[in-house]
Amino acid sequence: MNQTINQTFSPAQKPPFEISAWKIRWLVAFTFATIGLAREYYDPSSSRTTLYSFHTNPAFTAAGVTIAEGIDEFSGTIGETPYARGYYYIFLCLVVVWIVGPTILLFSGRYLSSENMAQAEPHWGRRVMANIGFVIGGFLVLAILIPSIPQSVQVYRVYQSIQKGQAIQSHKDDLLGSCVAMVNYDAYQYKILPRELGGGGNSYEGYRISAGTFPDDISRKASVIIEEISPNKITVRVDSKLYPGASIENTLDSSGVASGYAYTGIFQ
Amino acid sequence: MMFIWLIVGIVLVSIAFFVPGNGPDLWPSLHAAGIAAAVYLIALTAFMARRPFPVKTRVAIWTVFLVGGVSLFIGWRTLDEESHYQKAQLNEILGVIIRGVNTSYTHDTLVQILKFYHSPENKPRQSLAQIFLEKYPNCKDGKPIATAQHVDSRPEYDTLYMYPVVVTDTEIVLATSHKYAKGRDPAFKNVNGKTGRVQIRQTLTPKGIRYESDN
Repeated sequence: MNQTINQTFSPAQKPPFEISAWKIRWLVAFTFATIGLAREYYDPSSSRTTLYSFHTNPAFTAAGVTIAEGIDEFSGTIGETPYARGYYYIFLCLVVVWIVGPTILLFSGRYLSSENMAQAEPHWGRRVMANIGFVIGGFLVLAILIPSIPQSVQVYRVYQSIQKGQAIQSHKDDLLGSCVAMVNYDAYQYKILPRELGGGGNSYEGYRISAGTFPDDISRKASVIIEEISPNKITVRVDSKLYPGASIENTLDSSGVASGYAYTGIFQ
Repeated sequence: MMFIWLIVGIVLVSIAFFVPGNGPDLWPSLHAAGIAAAVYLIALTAFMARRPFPVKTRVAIWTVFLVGGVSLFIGWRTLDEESHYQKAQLNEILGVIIRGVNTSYTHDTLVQILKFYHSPENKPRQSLAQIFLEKYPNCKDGKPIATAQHVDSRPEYDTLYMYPVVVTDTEIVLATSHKYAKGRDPAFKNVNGKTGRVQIRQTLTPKGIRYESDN
């Protein structure tokens, strides 16, 4: 009835499914870290509250809070957002992920390693605790280490892209506000002023752009061209000097109403 | 031993995090706590990655520590710069919008006065002040002119008023300030009683309108 199977392997011929206790521990920690990260980064609601929710990297939470503060300043709702929660999450993350995780991982790993090296018969309770500690610590450390490299690359790329996009939009807004609008105001004012005061006497004809129409620095940024002028209509084009090929055009009617805004180049 | 390390680490990070205080910017707290955590982790790794761990294991631990640390540091710094840049951009965009809106509202108000002043309908000839005060009688008491934005929205959201700074027969000066949009000088005293907010000034004379950005 009793069968004894004596199977031996030569050093070159390893058993097909040999897996060490270390591999199992890392595999379990890695699986938990993957599940944790998937839950952290997959946000089906994509609500604004995620800006200052818990992240394994506290810099993400802090960045979320900083941007949320900027949005509140923009909309005039300062003091209505509970930023204390952001502080709480950042502190919690620092303590749990950056202190507790690595400490448990390294102490458990060292205990299990010493046990292996000493070949002693360890206390079963300590061994179980060390294994659990290793998996929890490994989970916490991996949860921050796995995404750290792709995150730093992605964050840098996003920053570059935002800077470029916002620089173009800011320049466009600047030209619209301090150049196009000012020419419109100046031209209409010229139209309604009588000729004896240097105006057009109810006509746009004869209007010239003067140096005092714009802020001092505008000549560095753009050039203004009157494309078409008639007694009741004037069309003005502003060419950007910072982004060649980009321009804004609009037409002012007899009552001073601007319309027909057209954008070319990178302003489109 | 592990609990002593844990307590030391938690106390170290807590002190570093809370000493800079809960100021308007949380990054100084985060930087201080991050440095404390980094010092703790270097000490912990040096203490744990020693013999009897073989050299291979020790090199692996330090490699993972350094690679992870460097990438986290780069991400950390970029997020710090990016979030502050975005916050500053939002303020700048708000300033551009508010200056544009203020200029437009004030221009529309003053250009109507100028247009009527020079029109054939201005008979018997009235001065700029007479036309202005006839249209905005509340300004006799120095009260501000509420814009269309004021009329259309709830009072608690009022953000745009035009204050008559000078009203004479030959000159009208309107200053338009904003409730919360920050201007260039944080110490600038605005006409609406606030400090450091965006302010536009427009001066109307019979020769036209002059635009100035006070703050």
